[in-house]
Amino acid sequence: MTPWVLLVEDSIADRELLQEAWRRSGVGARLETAGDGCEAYDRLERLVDQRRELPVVVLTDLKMPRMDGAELLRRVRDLKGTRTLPVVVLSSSQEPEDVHRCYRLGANGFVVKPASGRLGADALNALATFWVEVNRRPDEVA
Amino acid sequence: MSRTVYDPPRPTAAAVAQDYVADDGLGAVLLDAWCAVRTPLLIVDDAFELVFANPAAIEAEPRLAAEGSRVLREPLSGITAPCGAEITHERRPLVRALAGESVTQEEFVVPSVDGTDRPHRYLVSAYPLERRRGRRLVLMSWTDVTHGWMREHERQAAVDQLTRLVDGADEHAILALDSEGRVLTWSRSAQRLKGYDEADVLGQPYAVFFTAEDRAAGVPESTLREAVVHGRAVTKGLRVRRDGTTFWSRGVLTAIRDGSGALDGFVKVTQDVTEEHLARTRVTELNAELEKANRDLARVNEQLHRTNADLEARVAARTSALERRSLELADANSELEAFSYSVSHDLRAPLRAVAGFGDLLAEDYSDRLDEDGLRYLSRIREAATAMEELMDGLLRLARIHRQPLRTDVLDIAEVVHEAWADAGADAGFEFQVGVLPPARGDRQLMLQVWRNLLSNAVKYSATTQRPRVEVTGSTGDGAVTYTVRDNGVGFDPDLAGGLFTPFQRLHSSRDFPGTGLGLALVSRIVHRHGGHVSASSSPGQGAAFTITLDAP
Repeated sequence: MTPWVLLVEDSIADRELLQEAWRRSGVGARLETAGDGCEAYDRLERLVDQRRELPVVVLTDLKMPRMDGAELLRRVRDLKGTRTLPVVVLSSSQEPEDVHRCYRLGANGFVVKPASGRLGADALNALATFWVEVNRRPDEVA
Repeated sequence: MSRTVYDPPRPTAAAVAQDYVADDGLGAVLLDAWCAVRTPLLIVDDAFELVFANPAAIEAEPRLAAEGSRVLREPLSGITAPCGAEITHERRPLVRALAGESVTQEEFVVPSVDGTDRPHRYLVSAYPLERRRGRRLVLMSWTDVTHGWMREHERQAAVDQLTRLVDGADEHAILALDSEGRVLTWSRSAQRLKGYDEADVLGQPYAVFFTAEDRAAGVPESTLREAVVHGRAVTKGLRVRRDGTTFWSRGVLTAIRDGSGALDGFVKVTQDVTEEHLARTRVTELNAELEKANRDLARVNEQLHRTNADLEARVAARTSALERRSLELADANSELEAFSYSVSHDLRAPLRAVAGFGDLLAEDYSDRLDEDGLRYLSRIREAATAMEELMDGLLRLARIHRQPLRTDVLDIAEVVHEAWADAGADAGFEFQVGVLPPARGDRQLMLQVWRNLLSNAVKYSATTQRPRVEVTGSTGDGAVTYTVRDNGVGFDPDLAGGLFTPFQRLHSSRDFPGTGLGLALVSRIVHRHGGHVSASSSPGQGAAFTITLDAP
């Protein structure tokens, strides 16, 4: 089964741009999307319940309606089965407070989305390569 | 009592006595009486023969019993009158009585009869008696008054001493009054104090010392009455001297009673307290002044209180105004933060869409756009880039006040060189750095300052023939100063006021692209470090920017 990546992003434009960048990066992994933290969490919870394959990494926006990236992060770290799931925050924010908060909540990375241009294909490629090809997360401790 | 008749050593004497006594019955009674009295009695005849001695006499002079008349015939030695005069044979009481004189109670001093140094004193009487059988007889008696005399003597000495004391009491007039208040004694100190001679004042009522007003008011009498009733009366007030001058006195009048409790008189002790009185008066005056001063002070205090209350009210008003301002500022600040957050997150998203899809359009569809289309697309992408820079600048500007300073002593020369590397100068630039003193500051922010200053210098001198940027430093007056000088286009000094204001640009962005935030950022960072920045120039002459910071 091909590894897959879950992108959590409320902005349709950003989602489409990231998908496009992902497609062009040539990473050998499927990119699936969720529109906010709530949708993403429900999906992860279901996957855990059904003992189905989890994404190799969750890329999440920070500022979203209903449930933001920080809350999603907190819940993922609380949920048995996703405690060691890699989560990388993609945000427009360069505020140090945001970065610190996310790392405190257990983020595995914090990537600033540039305002203009695509998230460079190279950068996204590097991200995906690391998390999909290189990184091995430990099996969830029962 | 036993009838102790002189047991005569010689028969003659006894016979005389017997003859004498036997004359009549009365004689026997007298003889008994003489033997009974405690006064020594002798009867001596004109031949100095002892005829009779009663027991008291034998007791007083035991030798009489053994030696009889021989004692009488001894010459007098050392016996004197009280004045010290020698007693001659003729002056002897016995001799004088034999000559018919009655000697009554004359005082004689006998030196050291008892072996001590103390002389004895005797009162001696001698009376001629009727002639009997052709013999003249004399009755002699004497009394030893030594003890009484001594007592009197000591009493007198004590009185003298007391008098000396009383006279010597400079500050006090001590006088005795009789029970009617008349002056009995007058001390020298009283004379000094009141000016009366003893002769003038003895027997005078003590009321003469009082003022006419006091006398009219009966003060002397009421004082006496008070002393009688209470034993003593305190007297004070103005008193009159003999010469009519007055003095302030204070004293005590004490009633003196004899052993039976009857009023004997008074002792009056008076002190001149004029100086004390004046001092007290002065103190009273001073006190009054003090009180007045106190009242004034209280008034001033009250005014002060009012003023204070006023001030406090004003301060409170100001404070609440300030607090309002502060709240407003806090509101403004939180709005600003909300704004920067908004810029950071929300404004970026649409911009990212514009730029991102612009990029995709350029990448995937440029072959399907004509020349105009491509130009429009290019303008869209340029505008998006410019806007991103603006937003970054604004964010940095807003962040300067929020982020804490992490200061260190910085090697400014090193910071300058790092900043120069990012300034975008090409190889044609001449860059000179003088000796730069170290400064205290947040390295990241200082790097930002120098990047902005140096990239400005590069930007505005890039069109010059031989572009040159120079950095110099100096120390003095507790401050460090750095100047960045270029030989670029400079600026109009009249417009320099807006140089450090955000978005104020002195040159068109077509000639010199930029956000208009660089110098505002420099200014804010330097201010945040407690320093200041200034600029000088004239068009075409290049520009100089000077930063001053506290010496580390």
